[in-house]
Amino acid sequence: MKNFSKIVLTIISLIVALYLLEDFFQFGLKQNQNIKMAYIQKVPKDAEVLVHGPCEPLWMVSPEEINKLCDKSAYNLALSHSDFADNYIHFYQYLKYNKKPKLLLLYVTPESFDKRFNTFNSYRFAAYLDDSLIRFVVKENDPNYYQYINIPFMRFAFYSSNVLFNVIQGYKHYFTNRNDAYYPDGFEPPTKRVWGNHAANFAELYKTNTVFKWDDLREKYFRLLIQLAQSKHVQVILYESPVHKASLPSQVNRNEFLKRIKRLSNEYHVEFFQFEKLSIENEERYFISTLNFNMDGVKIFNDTLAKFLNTRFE
Amino acid sequence: MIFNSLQFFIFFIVVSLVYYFSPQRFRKSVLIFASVFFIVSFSFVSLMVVLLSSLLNFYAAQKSRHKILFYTLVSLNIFLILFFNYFTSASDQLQVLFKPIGFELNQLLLAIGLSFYTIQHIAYLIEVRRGKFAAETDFSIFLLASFYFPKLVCGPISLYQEIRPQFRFLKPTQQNIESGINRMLFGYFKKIVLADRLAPAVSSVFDFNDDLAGLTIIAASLIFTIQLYFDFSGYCDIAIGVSRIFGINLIENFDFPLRSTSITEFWRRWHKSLIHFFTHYIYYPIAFKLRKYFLFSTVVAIILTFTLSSLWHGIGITFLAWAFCHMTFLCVEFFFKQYCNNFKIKSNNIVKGIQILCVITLVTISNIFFRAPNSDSLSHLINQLFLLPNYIPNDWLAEFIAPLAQGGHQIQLFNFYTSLVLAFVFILFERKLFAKFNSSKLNYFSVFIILILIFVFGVFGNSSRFIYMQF
Repeated sequence: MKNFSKIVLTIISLIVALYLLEDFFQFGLKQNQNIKMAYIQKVPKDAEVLVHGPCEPLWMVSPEEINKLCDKSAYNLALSHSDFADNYIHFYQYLKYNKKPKLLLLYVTPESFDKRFNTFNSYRFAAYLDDSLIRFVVKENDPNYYQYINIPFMRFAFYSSNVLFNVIQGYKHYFTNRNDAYYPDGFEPPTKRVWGNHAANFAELYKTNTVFKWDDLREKYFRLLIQLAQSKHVQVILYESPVHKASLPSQVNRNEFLKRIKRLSNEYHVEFFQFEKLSIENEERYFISTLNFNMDGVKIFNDTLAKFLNTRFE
Repeated sequence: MIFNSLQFFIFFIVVSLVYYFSPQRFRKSVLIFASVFFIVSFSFVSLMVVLLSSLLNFYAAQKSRHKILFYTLVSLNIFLILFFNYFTSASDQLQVLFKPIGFELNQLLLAIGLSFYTIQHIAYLIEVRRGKFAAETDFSIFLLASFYFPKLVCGPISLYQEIRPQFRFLKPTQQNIESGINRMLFGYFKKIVLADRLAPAVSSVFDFNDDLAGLTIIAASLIFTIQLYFDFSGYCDIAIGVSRIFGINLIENFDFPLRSTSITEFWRRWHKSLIHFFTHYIYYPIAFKLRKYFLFSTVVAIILTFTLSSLWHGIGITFLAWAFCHMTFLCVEFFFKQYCNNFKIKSNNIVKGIQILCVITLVTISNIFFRAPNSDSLSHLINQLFLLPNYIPNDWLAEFIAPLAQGGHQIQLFNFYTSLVLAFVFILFERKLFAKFNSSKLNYFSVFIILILIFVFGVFGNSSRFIYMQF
């Protein structure tokens, strides 16, 4: 009997502790100004131009430049390694707490529709699973994670390597009354990157005769993203930044994918603009990977992008 | 259904409950059904292979006096290990051949735990032939001894004579259950918190053919050595814990190997069940046969033992090179002990510390070969190691820390340092922790703390299979 009561007490204490930890983590994450989901809620950006997509726009589109050259306020909502479902939730969250932008500038490339490139990062939404829409998207995109989220604290524990640091940082921001992100306009200049085995990753992904595989789930969330923007009367422009030209010959069906993206954009009466035939796309010294510029490349590209946007604002 | 999955957790609870509420005479059947279900969760082929292998060995053992039959069957068992090891190593290339006809070769090759139970079968045949005990007449007991699920995938390799008597009396006590839970938690902590947290640092160096400084590769190999220890010993702790809950005692597979003061001692403390097999059935017989030539016999026995050990792990230059390292270390150590008897240093803590460091360094060097994913990666790593100008990193953050910390951003640095601190603290207090979590009394406070630590620091989402599952 004594043992039984000890077991019951331990189990109850554990469950209580896990629920307390859950609240502790949730609060910490929501205070972290460097997490875009939390930042756009706490510090509304109300930007006129919203840049969105994975790491390519994150590292390559500077809202400051857009502001300077186009005289429009801008915010970069892009997130590294994100897919359209990830982007969709962020855009949904942005619209919830900010004025709707005039323009959504969304990065699209054949890689965006192939699930070997980028992914859905469930841990980014661990603190927001009370929202039914977010919960549904998480369920659809990461069922393995979803089966655990009803166990106390597992929504945070499941990807603890991605979460723990952010919680600690969140409490630091909370106790120091920090009100701004490390990158306030959301743009992360590529020079800040220390090291990455991108070269090896890309060698693996871009073998000779790379064949892209179209993913229907990616297409579904691409459509949902555009539909969400259009339902709020936000103009959408799809763009593809320059691709390192040397990598193109090995990509067997890139053009086929581009045509498919074009068809999709036509379906929604949305412009799809490719920044082609720029001299920098031939020069390796401007790239850190097939799709990403270094800081020198970014400067040139931002000028071109601002000019393009100006023509659209006219 | 690996140990660190939700599916296993549910499976284990259900099996435990059914086991306890079954009359004692049915418990053996519960374990057999549970083991069948467990194997099928990996692949149906695995079940077929273990059934066929057990059936063959069961009947052959009864006629083990027949010399030709005995040798044929032992050879067949060895062939089975080599066959599956060869095809697993070559599966990528072979997959290409079979792909056009839609044949899933990987499914066929997944014979889970084969290397482990085949070793057990060979030992069984030898002992029966030696007349140590009579051949088993009850196939259900023999089968259960072969594929008993907690030890099936990665051991410990239990000798038949050790495990068989326990299946006759399946009546776990409260102490068994308490010590089993303790030990399982200890194992889960090692795997989920320590091993899986260290894994990204190792993978980021070994799984990409990047150009790295030599010291970075050595550091990654050191981390791999620690990861491998936590991963494998963690598995064994869980297996031992699960078994205790069923009232069965499996043998210990590790004895604090990272505290060894010589390579010989290291091999007495690391993967003890496999080493027991190799020493008793290969090393001693060879050394005995050639005892007239004392030095020669020892060297030959070491070489043969480690060659076979490398083949047991897999067929490829990486494992052979790893085995060659250990052959060399052991031979040098043996000659040193033989001829430098006068060279004796008083043992104290500092000397012991230096000896431990030397052993860890040597094991770390050998593990570069063990961890290299294939021969191409190995040659790349070796090239990097011997490009002397690049041995010491010029920029420590960019060339040493960042590659190990998967890029060197704040979050990755935090994870990397946290993993190292957790591993270091654990190794420092390992003996005390082991004593606590090997006890037959459940300390509810410790259970609470370790569970919280597992929840907060554990790796669930990116958790990996156990490293030794590939063998």
